[in-house]
Amino acid sequence: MSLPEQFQSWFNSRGWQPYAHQLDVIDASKTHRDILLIAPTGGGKTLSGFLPGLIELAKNPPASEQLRMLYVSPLKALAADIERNLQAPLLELKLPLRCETRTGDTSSHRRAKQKTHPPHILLTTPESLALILSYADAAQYVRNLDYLILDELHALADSKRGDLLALNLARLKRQCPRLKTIGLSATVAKPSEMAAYLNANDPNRVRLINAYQTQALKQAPPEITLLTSEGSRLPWAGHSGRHILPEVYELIQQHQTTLVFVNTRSQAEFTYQDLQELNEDQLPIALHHGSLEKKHRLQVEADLASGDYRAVVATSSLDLGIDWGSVDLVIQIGPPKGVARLMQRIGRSNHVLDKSSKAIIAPTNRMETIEALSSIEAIRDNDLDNFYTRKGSLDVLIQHLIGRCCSEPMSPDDLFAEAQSALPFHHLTRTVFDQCLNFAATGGYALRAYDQFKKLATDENGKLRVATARIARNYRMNIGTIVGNTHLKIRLGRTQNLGEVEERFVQSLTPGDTFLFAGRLLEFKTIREMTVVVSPSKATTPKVPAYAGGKLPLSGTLARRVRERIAQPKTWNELPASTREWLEWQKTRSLIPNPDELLVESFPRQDLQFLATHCFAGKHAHHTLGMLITQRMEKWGLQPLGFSSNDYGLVVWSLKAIEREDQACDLLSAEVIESELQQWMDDSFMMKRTFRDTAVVAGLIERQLPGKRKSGRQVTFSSDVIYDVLRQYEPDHVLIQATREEAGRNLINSQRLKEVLHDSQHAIRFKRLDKISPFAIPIVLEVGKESIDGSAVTSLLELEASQLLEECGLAESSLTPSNER
Amino acid sequence: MEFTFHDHTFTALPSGGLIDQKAQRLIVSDLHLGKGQSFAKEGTLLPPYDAKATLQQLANDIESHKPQQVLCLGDSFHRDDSLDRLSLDCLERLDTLVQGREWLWITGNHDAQLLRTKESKLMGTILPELIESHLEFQHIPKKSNPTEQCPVLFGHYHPKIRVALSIGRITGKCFLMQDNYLLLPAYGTFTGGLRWPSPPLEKLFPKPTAFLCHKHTVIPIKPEKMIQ
Repeated sequence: MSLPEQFQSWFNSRGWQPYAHQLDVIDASKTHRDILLIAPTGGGKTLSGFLPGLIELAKNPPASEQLRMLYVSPLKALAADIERNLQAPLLELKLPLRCETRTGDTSSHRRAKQKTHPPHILLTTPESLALILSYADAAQYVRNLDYLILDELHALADSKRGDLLALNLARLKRQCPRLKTIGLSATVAKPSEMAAYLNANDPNRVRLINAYQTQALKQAPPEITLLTSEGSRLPWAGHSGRHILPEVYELIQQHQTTLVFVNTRSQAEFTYQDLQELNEDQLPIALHHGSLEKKHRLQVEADLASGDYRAVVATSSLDLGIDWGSVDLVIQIGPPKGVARLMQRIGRSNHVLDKSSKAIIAPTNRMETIEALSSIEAIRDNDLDNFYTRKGSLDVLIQHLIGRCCSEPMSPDDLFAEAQSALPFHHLTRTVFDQCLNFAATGGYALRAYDQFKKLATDENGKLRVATARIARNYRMNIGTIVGNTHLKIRLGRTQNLGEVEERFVQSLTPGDTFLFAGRLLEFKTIREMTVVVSPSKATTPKVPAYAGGKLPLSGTLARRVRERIAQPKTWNELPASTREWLEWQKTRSLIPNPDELLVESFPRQDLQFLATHCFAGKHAHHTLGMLITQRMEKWGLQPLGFSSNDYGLVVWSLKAIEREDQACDLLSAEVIESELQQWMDDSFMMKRTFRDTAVVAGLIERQLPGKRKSGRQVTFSSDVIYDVLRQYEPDHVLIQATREEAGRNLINSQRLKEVLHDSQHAIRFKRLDKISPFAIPIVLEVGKESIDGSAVTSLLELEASQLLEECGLAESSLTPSNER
Repeated sequence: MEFTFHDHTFTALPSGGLIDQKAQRLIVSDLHLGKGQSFAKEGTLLPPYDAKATLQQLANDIESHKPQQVLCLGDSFHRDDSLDRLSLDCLERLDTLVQGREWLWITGNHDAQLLRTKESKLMGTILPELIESHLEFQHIPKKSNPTEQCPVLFGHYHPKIRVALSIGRITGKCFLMQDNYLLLPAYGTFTGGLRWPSPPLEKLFPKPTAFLCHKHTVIPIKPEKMIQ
C-alpha cells in the first residue's frame, strides 16, 4: 500500500513517513464501512481518521457546498484545535476544502451561515451534532456525507454522551447511503467490544486496527517513578500534597517543561499558588482548569505549545489529545484513580512515539502511596481498566426520540429499529421502547390526562412529529446529557472575566469572604445578574477553602491491586517508610486482611463506638453502604450518629457497639443489603438528585439556564416533589425506572459493592479493639467533611432541632415539636 | 409545632397548614389546584396527580385535627378554568371536604375571577378577606404597615428557606413570622417557592423567625441559620 503521490510528497516535505497504521486505515477504508483504530496519542491518530476522506476528495473534488466529512470530538477545545491543525495540510496539499468548527461556542451568525452554506468538513461535539440533526432539513444536509470520524471514543463510549452519539450514529448510517465511520480510541482492555459501538448489528464487520501491534509502533515503556519524600513524613489523610511541592519545584527546575496534574480544580488553585510562592527563579508557571475563562485557557494552551512555560498546573482539562511540543515531564499529584487516566496523562510527555514518556507520581498521603505504586504496576502489566458495553440511558433515548421527530415524521417501528441499531440500546425491548415513546409524546401516565397537550402528534400516515414549534425549540434549548450545577461568571472589576464557578459554591459565600481563583486571592462582593463580582484581596490566606470540582472514584482494577499489595508484606519495602510503618502498625494492632477477606473493626473513641469496614470499593459504594448500615443499626437500637468514608473504607459511629463477629456478619449480609438497597434507593436523597437530572435530560423539566431567571419573583421548582408524587401514584413509570437505572449505575456503584460483600461473605474478619486501628485513622480524619442524608437525617434533625429550639430562645414549654403527620 | 403570634396560639403543620386551636380552624394558603394542567398546556407534562395529592393532604389534616372551619387564603385554584378541568374524582373529593364543615374561600390573584364566576358551582363562602379577633386574613397584605392591633396572616409568596445544619443543608417551604406579619407556605403540590431573602420577602421580613417544614416535622429556625 502506498500513498497517492500528492500525499506522499506532502509527508516528505515535512520530513515524515506515514505510520503503518495510517496506511492500514486508508487501505481498510476501501473494503470496510466501519474501522476502529486503537493508537496512542501522538501516533498521528487523528490524521489517520481524516486521510481516507482527504484522499478521496483530492481525487474527486466536491461541489462547493456539500458536507462530506463530519468529525466528532468529546471536547470543544479539541475540535477547535483540530481545525487549526487541519488548515496547514489542506493548504499545503492544495485541497480546496472548507473546514469549520461547530460547537456550543460557535456564534449564532456563524451557525446560521453553516446551515445554509455547509463546509466540506465539519468538526463538532455530540451535543452540537444532535442539534444540527434536529432541524427539518437535516436529512438533506447530511445526504452527501462520506466519512464520520469519532475521536477519543474511549472517553465517550462509556457515558451518557456516548449514548447520545450512538443514537445519532445509527441515524446517520440509516440516512447516508455512502457513510463510512472511523472510530479513534486510546488503548482499552477489550477493543473488540468497542468495535461494536461502530456497528452494533454486525460487529464482526468492523475492521479493527491496533497500532500497538504493528511493528513500527512498539512504544518504549513509560518511565514512571514514585516521588517519596523520605525526609518528611507523609500525612495520614488529606490530598493537598503541600509538603511535596518543594520537591516538585526542584523537578520543574530540572526539566524543560513540566505538566503538573492534580485531581480537582481547587487543588489546582492551591498548588499553583504554593508553587508561585516557592518560585524564587521567577519561572513562567501557568494554571489551567475547566472553570477558567476560555480565552485564558486557549492562551495557556497556545503558549504551552510554543514552549513558553516551564510548568503548567492542570486538571483533567488537559487530559485529552492536544499536542504539546516540549513537555518532558509529567507529575501527577495524588493518585490518578484509574489506569487509563494515568496513561493518558503520562502520554502528555515526550509526545514522540519512539521516546519513552517520563512521569512521576507524587502521593499526598499514606494510602495513596499504595495506590500510586499499584497503578505503576498496572501500567507495566498492561492491566487496563475495562470497557464495558453499557446499557443505554433511557432519558437519553427519550431526548433523542423527541429530537428525531423534530426533523422529520417517523413511524414508531422505524424509530425502534434505529434505536436498536445503536450499541447501547441494542438489547432494548419493544415494551420499554414504547414506554419511552409514550413518555416523550404524552408524559406516559396511566391517567391519560394530557392527550390534548401531546408533544408528539401522529399524522395521517401514522408517523410522529413534534406537535408545536415551541416543543422543538424547548428540545433544542435542552439538548445534552450532563446536568450541571448552574454556573456563574466571575468578574473582576468592571470588565475582566476570570471564568466560571458553580452556583452552589457561590451560595456558601457572604460578602467579604476570600477565596482562590485563577491563581489569585479574591474577595467576594456581590452577585449581579448571574455574575459574581469580586475584587482583589490583600489577605494572605483564603477564608473559604475551595469550590467543588470533579472528584474521581477509584477504578475497580486499581482497587484490586491495592488489596493485593497490602496483603503481601514482602512488597511493602517498595513503599516509603511512613507508609510501611503504618502497615506494620496495623499488623500488630489489628490485622492485615487477605485480598478476599473483608476486615471489620470495632473500637471505642471519645465516648462513641466506631465500626470500621475496609471494603476498598470506592467512595461512592462506601457512601451507599454507610447509608444502609446506619439504617440497620438504627433498627437494632445501636443508635448510630453518622458515618464517613473514603475510597478505601467506611466508619460508622454510634452510641452502642457492635461487639461480636456474628453481629458484624449479620450487619453486612449481602442478601439483606441487596434487598434493602432497592428500598433504600427509592427513598434516598441520591435517588431524588438522580431523578432531577433524569427529568431534565428526558425533557420533563427544563434546564435552568443561566441568565434566564432574572425576575425578582424567582420561583424555583422542586423536582423532589414531582418524584414523590410520581412514586406515590405511578411507581412503575418509565422515568422512575430510568432513575433507578441511573442511580444504580453512577452514584451507587452497587455492583461493586455487591461483589465485595458477596466475595467476602464467608471471610469477614472481625476485630474488637480497645482503640482506633491504624487503617481507620485516615477515614476518621475525613469525619465532618461530608454531610449525611437518608433515613438517619430525620432523627438527627430532631436532635439538632432541640438545640436550635434553645438557640432560638424559645423555651420547650411554649414550643413543643409535634409529630403530626 | 406550637407557637404564639400576638397572643394567639397556633400549630404549624408539616404540610404547610396552620391550626388555630381556639377557633377550631385550619388555615391553608395557595392550593393552586389545576396547576399541573396548566403546565401541560405549556408543554411540560408533569405527573397529573397534583390536585389529587393536594386534596389527599388536606383530607389527612382535616382527619387529624377535625377543624370546624377551613380557611383558604387565596390562590386555591390556579387558573380560571381549573375548576372545570379537575377530574371527576377530585371534584367529588373537594365537595365532600367542603360539605363537612364551614369553608371560607378568600380570593387571591389567581382565582378571583374563577371564584366570582363559579360561585354557584363551588360550595363554601367566598370573601375578599376575613377580620376576626383582631387578626386579618388576606391573600396579600393590603396595608403596607399593619399595626399591632391588626396583624396579618397571608399567603401568596410561597416562602422557602435554606438552612445550614450540622448535618448539611436543607431547603424547604416554611412559615415566616416577624412583627405584625405571619406568612404561610404554599400548601399545594407543585407550587414551587420563593426563597428568602428574595427581594419581596426580605422587604416584608428583614429578620424573621421561620418554621421549616421538613418531612414529618416542623423546625423553628432563627435568621442567623438561614442561608442567603
